[in-house]
Amino acid sequence: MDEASFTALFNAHYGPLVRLAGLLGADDPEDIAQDAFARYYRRRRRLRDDAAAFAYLRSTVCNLTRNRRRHLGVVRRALPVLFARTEEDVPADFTAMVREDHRELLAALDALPAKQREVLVLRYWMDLSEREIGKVMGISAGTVKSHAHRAVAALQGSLREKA
Amino acid sequence: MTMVEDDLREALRSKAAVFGTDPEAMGRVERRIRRNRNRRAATAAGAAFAVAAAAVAVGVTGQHDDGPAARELLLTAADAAASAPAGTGRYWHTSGLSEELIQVGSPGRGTYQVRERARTDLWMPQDAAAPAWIRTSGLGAAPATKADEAVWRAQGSPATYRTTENGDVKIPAKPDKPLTERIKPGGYGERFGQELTPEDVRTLPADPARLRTALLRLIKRASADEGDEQLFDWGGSLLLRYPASPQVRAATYRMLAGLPGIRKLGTVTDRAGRTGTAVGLNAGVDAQGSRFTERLVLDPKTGRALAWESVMTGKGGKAAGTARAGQVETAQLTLESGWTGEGPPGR
Repeated sequence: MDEASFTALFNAHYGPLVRLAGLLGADDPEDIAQDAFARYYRRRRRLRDDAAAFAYLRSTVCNLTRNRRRHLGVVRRALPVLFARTEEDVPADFTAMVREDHRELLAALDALPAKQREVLVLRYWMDLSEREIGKVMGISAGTVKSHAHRAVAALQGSLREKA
Repeated sequence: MTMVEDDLREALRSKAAVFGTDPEAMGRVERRIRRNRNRRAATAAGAAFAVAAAAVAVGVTGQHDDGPAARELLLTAADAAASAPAGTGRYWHTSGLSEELIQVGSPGRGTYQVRERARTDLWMPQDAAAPAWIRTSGLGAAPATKADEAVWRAQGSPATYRTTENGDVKIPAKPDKPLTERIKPGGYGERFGQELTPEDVRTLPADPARLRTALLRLIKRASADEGDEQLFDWGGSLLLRYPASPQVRAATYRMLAGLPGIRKLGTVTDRAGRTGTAVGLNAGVDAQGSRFTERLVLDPKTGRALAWESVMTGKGGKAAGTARAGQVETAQLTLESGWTGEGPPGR
């Protein structure tokens, strides 16, 4: 990448990466995104274009979020809201901006195994293909397909239980 | 498309809108970059995307195959490491030095290089429940060579340097206050490039093949990176800063001896002026078009790892005017290591 494009890269991708971390259930999505950019800076010699850079950043956000959640021992119970530990932590916006049935669906998403959740977020929020998801997660397109299949079935199951 | 998938798409979109971003975020990233730079200067063998490039570079440069010499050297080091005393203590303490060449300058007036240095002390606990600590003292940055100093003077001898590659980050010339911090689980990757904890190291097998498998699993768990470059990188880090047993150290050297592409680079002087023998891997090309080799400097007689250095082997068209092939771009040196009863001062 050329000179000064670090700032351009940051401006273009910081927001989407914060949202990606948040949707994956990170406790502090901005911390994850900032960590990813700092790591990217160290790797920059090897990532020669913007597409490779964004792919690296996305993978890093997924891995960091997965690791932090595991390290924190965040075994999240079926919380009424997904990214808060207590009611006070829930941003007022969340309840105001997200419909109740969507909140239930997001809570079910948060209870899935990490890789299944990643596949769904990358597919339905980032609109990546199975191949692209495989690249981000370092798994085959076939594995992506089977994660997606299981994840959707699990979501349907947990929503039926609630109904 | 089932209902649940449509709903999910909508639900994710509405939740995504909740996350705001801090207007100061870029500044926070810059501070992290500066901290990271002091801890582990720059990239080690890189991301998955670069593996292909590195493989091509090995072919193109066509260096004669001194793989057998590298293997012999690493096996000698393995035998020496295996017979070192195991030792014990509360903490495995390493004193190190890290250095990086940074391209700086002012737009339109030419670029030059400063070398930024930091002293790093690490305490990794014997007891899995205890925290690990790191103490970093930035030693400041100064023009790297006489040629760099001349350009620096011509540009008005600035007290802070501004980077001219990959963003505009200010590098102060003055040393920083020492900073002692606890290393959080999950924080090792950011600091050292490998998400490897002392606890992971305690469970590593002492058989080279099984060690390789275990490291590959840890590499995959932690990052988007893969390949033999990663094994070299992780193995080097393990030897330089982690409390591995003599058996695991020996297995690490033997595992490295089995990597294709590893070459003996002969006797070298590291950035601390110590003489050692180096093995290395080609590391591909950077954004300035420069080629690099990463090397592990070791003392085969004692089996101690001395340094990890990234050396420019070919200068690219966009490299700083004063850059020269052969320069040590980044270095992490282990000056001392061993078990101790003492933690960091005041902790």
